[in-house]
Amino acid sequence: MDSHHQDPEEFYVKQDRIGKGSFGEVYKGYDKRTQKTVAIKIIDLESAEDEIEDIQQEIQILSQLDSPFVTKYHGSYLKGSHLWIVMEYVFASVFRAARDSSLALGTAPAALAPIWEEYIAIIVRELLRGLEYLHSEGKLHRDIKAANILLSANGDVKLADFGVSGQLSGTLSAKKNTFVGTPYWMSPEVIKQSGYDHKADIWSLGITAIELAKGEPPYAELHPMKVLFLIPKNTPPTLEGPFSKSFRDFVSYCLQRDPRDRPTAKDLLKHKFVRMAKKTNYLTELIERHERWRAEGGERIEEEERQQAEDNNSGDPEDLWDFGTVRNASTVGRSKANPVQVSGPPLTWEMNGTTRSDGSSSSGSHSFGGHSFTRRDLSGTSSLTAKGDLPPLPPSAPATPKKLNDQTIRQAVNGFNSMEHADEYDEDFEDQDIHVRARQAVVVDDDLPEPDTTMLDSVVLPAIASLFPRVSTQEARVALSALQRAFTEAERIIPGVTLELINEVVDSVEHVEDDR
Amino acid sequence: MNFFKTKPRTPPDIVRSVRDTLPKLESAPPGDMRKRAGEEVSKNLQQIKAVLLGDGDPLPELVAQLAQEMYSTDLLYHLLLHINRLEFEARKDVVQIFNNLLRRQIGSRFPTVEYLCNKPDILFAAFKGYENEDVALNTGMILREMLRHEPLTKILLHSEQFYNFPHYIETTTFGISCDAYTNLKETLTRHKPMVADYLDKNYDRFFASFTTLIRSDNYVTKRQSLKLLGEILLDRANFNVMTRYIANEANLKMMMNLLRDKSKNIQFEAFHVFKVFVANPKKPEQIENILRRNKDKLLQFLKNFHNDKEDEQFTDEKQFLIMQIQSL
Repeated sequence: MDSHHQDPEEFYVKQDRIGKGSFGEVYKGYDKRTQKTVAIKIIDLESAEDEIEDIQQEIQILSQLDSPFVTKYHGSYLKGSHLWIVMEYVFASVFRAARDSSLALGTAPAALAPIWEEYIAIIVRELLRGLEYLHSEGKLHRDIKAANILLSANGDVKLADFGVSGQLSGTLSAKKNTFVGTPYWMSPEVIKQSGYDHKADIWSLGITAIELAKGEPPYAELHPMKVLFLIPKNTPPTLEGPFSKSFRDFVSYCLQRDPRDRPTAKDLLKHKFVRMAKKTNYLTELIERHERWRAEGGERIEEEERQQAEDNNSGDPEDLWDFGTVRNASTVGRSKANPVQVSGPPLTWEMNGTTRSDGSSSSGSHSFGGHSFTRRDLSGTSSLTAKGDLPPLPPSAPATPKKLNDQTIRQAVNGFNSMEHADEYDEDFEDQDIHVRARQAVVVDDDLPEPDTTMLDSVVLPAIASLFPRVSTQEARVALSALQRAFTEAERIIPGVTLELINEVVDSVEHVEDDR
Repeated sequence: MNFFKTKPRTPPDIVRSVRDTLPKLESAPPGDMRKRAGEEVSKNLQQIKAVLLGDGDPLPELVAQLAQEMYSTDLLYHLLLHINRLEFEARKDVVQIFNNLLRRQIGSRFPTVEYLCNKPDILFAAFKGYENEDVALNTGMILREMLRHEPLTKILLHSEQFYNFPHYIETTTFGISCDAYTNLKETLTRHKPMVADYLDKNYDRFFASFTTLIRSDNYVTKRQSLKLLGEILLDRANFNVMTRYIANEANLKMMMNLLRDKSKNIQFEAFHVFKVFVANPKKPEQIENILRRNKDKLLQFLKNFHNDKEDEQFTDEKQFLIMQIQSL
């Protein structure tokens, strides 16, 4: 062993950049010795805020983990002041794969729920296995959320982003009394800093299940600071919507205010919802759809979204929480080889690169009452529906153009400085509260002055969606989703058209009957 | 007579079984036989762990039997010798078993520490773990647990092997290098009076070796060892050592050069050593000469030094240094 052996470039080849955060970048690469793909996170220690000791401690923890449910640590190397942390490369975040394949399916909303539910059950089971392992090792994850769940090409689900990246991004601290995690997924006891244990992960798991089902965690439309206040105050969220009883039941088990009432990961693995879940290879469908979506040019649109997001961001450097997935333009057309999504090392850097852009998000939260209308509006601007949502929400969803705020606490505190919109939140705070519940009900407000789009959201799209399980070929599913897209598009251009169409159809059917 | 009824195994049985199986990890023909030996050891280590942890409430009598047998068979030593041949989880179990035994206390006595004091080879075997990157982080943890105890730290500090630290820090990959550095720091900062005495008596050898770390090309080594140097010098227990260190021209020159290192972090760590030279009310002549010769340059330099830092204490200290230099 002599010192030049420390040079990471002796062993690894760094390729495309797949992610970026405030403290460093993530690259895809491969191991020269085995040709295996790896993810390489590069941190400049000279500019990192964390002490080297803290980084080392997290590496120590990572090095002691070995589980198929957890992304594997390969090693860390120093080059100048740049630290390379080499991790197992995993295809994509579950969230992205799901969201993208949802886009691939068109915007099929609510009635797709049963399909998502099957996927979710698998994901949750695998997640529980990862947590069972971590907890048995006496370790907490502290940042469970969809973005930190990765999906391998064969459908394996892996937990990422504990320790290292969190620590490195300044979000996680080693002490169990500290305020860590990402606000929307944080348990009441973590927020109150009253001391917590592995049950905090169980809460976050429950929130993640809701996130997977609905496309975003509860309170997603609110400012993270507000959320920190609401979570300990309100009764725990529940899963509403067209989901099975066992799923809703599962979520409510996880989301109990008193951590002692929450089951352990081991217990939850025995829950009906999880026991009935299919094999993991079933998840490869998600990946296939995701691939197809990209092949059909979805990525180009994403690229535009990203561009847009970057434009939004350029204003305030303090607000740079975008951690946006950097999609490399040059990889278009090499889809197979470059599943461009952030993967591998985990991070907080997922999502679609969009940050809360104050204007749009506050106007979004003001749209209380105008829900479905808002969404339609949105899809107009981004040419495909609400970004960031995976299974688009049931009709009454306000679906704020919100971009999930994934910033962590430290950043949230920074964000506090930029709370010129704080007033707005206070103003409609009561509304927000109702708002959150209202969005979960599938009831539609008939008093809306806007053109009635209920027919599209609650009748036609679900009706088409209900056909999905009945067709067997992929081609047929693509055709169905094209049909849904066509309806959605027509409704966007001619609001209310679906209702009119159905009235026409019903009328003519009645006429036919009359004629008999 | 029931041939199938197995007698429950006593802790000594388990220990002996591990002791007997360990050599097979090497001597058994590769393949099934060796694999089975590995599984056997893993299983038994789990049982040892179970006795020690006892579901949160270990039975002292069983633990005593177990520990006794481990001492008399030198199992700890053999575990370290073979740790690289153990399965991943079994290695972690070895760490836990070590740590648990090291903390074992009877009244004010630490029986395992006493045992290890008589068997220093075990400590050196743990230290030598840095030579194998597959197990270095496991053995590093064991070493760290040992260094909590002064008698064990003293053995390491006073050994020839101690001077392998720079080698371990310099030639390993980041994670391991940091681990070795952490243990060096533990050795030098945890048991202060004992260490102060050592440094005083072995001043030349120690600082000759330590200076190689400060002069390292490795960014982390350089930065961390400078930081540690600052800690050592500023500790009251090391007053004599500090006095000697800041009387030496070569040391001052080195710090003045490091103040201008291209890394801001290294400049900053160097500042915390440099300030001791300047703040010394009884500066030896050779030191004062250097400072006086560079008076204007130093004043100019300090005026622009890390002005973006919002650290009040740092600003105060810098101001103090400027005043000191001005009055030369």
